[in-house]
Amino acid sequence: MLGTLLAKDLRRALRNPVPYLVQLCVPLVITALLGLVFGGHSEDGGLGRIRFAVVDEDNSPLTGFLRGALNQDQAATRLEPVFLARAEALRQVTNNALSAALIIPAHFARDYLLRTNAVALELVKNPAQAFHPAILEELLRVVTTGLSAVKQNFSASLGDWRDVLSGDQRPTMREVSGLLDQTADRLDALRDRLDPVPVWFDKKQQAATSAAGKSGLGAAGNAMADIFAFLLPGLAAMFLLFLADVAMRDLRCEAQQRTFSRFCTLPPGPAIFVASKVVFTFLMVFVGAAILLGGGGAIFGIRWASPLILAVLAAALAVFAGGLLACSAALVAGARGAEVINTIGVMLLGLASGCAFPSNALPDFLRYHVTPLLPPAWFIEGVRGTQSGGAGSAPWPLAAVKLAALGVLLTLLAAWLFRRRLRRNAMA
Amino acid sequence: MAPRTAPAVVDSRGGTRDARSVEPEPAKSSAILRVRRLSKAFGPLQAVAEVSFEVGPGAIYGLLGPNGAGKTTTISMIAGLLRPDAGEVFVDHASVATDPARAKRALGVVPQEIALYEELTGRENLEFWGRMAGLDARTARTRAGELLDALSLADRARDPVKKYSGGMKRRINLGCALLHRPKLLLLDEPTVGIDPQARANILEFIRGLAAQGTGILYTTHYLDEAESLCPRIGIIDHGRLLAEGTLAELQERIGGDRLFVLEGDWEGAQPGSWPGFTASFSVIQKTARQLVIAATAPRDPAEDLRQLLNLPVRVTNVTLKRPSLNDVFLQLTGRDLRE
Repeated sequence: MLGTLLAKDLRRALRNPVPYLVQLCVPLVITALLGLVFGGHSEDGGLGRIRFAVVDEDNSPLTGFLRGALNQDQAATRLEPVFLARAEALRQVTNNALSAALIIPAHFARDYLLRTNAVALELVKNPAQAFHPAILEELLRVVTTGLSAVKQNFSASLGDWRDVLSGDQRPTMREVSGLLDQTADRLDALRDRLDPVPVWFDKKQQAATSAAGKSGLGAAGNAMADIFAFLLPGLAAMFLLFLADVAMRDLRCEAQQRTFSRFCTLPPGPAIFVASKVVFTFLMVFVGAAILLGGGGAIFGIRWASPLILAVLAAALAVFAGGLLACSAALVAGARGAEVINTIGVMLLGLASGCAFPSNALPDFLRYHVTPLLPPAWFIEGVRGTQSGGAGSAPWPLAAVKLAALGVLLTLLAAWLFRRRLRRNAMA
Repeated sequence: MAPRTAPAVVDSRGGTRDARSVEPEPAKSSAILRVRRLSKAFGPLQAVAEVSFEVGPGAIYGLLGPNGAGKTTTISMIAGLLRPDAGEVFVDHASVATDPARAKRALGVVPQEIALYEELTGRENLEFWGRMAGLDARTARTRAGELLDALSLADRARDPVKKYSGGMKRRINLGCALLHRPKLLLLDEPTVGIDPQARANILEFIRGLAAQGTGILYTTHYLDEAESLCPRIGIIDHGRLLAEGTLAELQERIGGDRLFVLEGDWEGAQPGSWPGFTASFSVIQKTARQLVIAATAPRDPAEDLRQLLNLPVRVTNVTLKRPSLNDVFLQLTGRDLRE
């Protein structure tokens, strides 16, 4: 019986697939558009190296050190600095050949090492790009914060360092060792504050990432830096809810077309009919997730860290979506009212869950008090957590269990609501 | 408008009773459908009020009434779609209220609307509804083929229903209720909106079903359909079954087989005050230009005519006709069924 009902619905969906295809195409198109706007896709599946100019008008040993640091290890995989004169750098930024130009002004090192002077670096961003310049700005903010911290804590020694570094002669080992001794004494004084170190680098994580790079999982790490991989799970979650709405809306269509009433005149009764719609919705969402995440991954070159985990999370999301929309169908009988309520509801749910943009961009109240309670956010965090190797996210099994459990509860609630409505003859 | 006469029925044994007194006795009845004092209200609106009737195997019972009379509500309660406020329905001796599964197994329902899946083909629709009625896949396929032949739709069996004409959809709509060969078929205005040829085909098909023993409850507001198809007819209006019987029995109710339609200026006329008039005639309808009367005295029509020509109002034209169901409805309700 259930199989016949499902076969009927699937056949009808195949012969009139437009409403479903729309819900599958829209997130892919939005992902493509946003991805391209925010920097696009590179061959290695990541953001690509950020090409920017460094204009070193100071040309001191300190700026030489900074220039050298930009070409080291991890920085070199992400950053592609080119060293140019100011005029050429600005011309290339204007021509969209560079993401930004970092200008180190003349006397930067001298002024920095002076005890009182404030110093400034200059970043000229390419207005035609959004993502890469923003990343550079954040990186520069980190650098300047670090430099400021050093200046505040070692200001007593900085004058001596300036004298050593800015002298005409190369500094002698004696001069340098004396300064190092002073610095070491200062660090000793700070030992209590630095132990335990408040900010640390997880060596295990570093090792795993490093190993993963060789085994192929490095692509997953890259994928998290890929704007497509970041956007797609969120948009997929929201549009899968829309897809569930389309599938469950079929129940109202059948009520309007009187096929549901006709079914109610037959011995099986309405319960199995409603149940078949929930299962149909589950199937459509699950298949939709496979198309969106699998197909989207193929289109955008995303390599998912664990397709199996992704499938489990998608199935859990499908259970939740089926239950949620079944409740809506049980509560709101009118097709037009349901369309408005569901569209607005799903959109709000998606936006508040961080489906369209990172949840940390949301207002604090939403971010800390609302978003963590929203099921689509569980799915998104589960996927993103899996992609990033589990760092900074709730574990995916917990997300899957919560989604599935809530979905089952909502389905049971919908069954109770339907039974109550049918007893009141509202559906007939 | 309130009925002019007390609600009455002619029961299956030929007697005439008040409609509310018809209560088939469950144990003795061989009827495939028994409806007893069925009532349903929607808020202040009494949609169905104490309706009772029976349909036997192989019989076609016509429930005739204007739109909004309570026909569909009655059928919905019989089909188990609506819960009655009062009364009972038995289908094949099973109560729809207490044993709905058994009752529904004997039931086929053809809704007024086209309740089909437009994306599916005619054959797929038939097979699907057959499966839902409890048939296995092979039987459903076989019977769908038979029905497609019987409904003259075999050559369009593979086309989606959305490409069918209105008449073809009506036929498939009918066929979907027949896959499991129900003992009782409920047809709710199954010929609405289709051309005369398609209607004739459907009516012929229904006669065939009745001939094979299927009991049929047929609701309609088409007089000609009820007259030509239904050996027994119940007239319903404002939720009340006003009368039932064969066409002849219903015609007899309003004065035998003679009706006179008198044209003239009847404004202000008081037929009741005319000498000897009420002894020979009863007024069916009176308007400013027309007076419809039934001859109640058993005599030669020529004598009726002579008396009418001597009325105190000048008659410009006289028509003699046999009473129709519309005239019966007119007499019962004071208004035209076609209004």
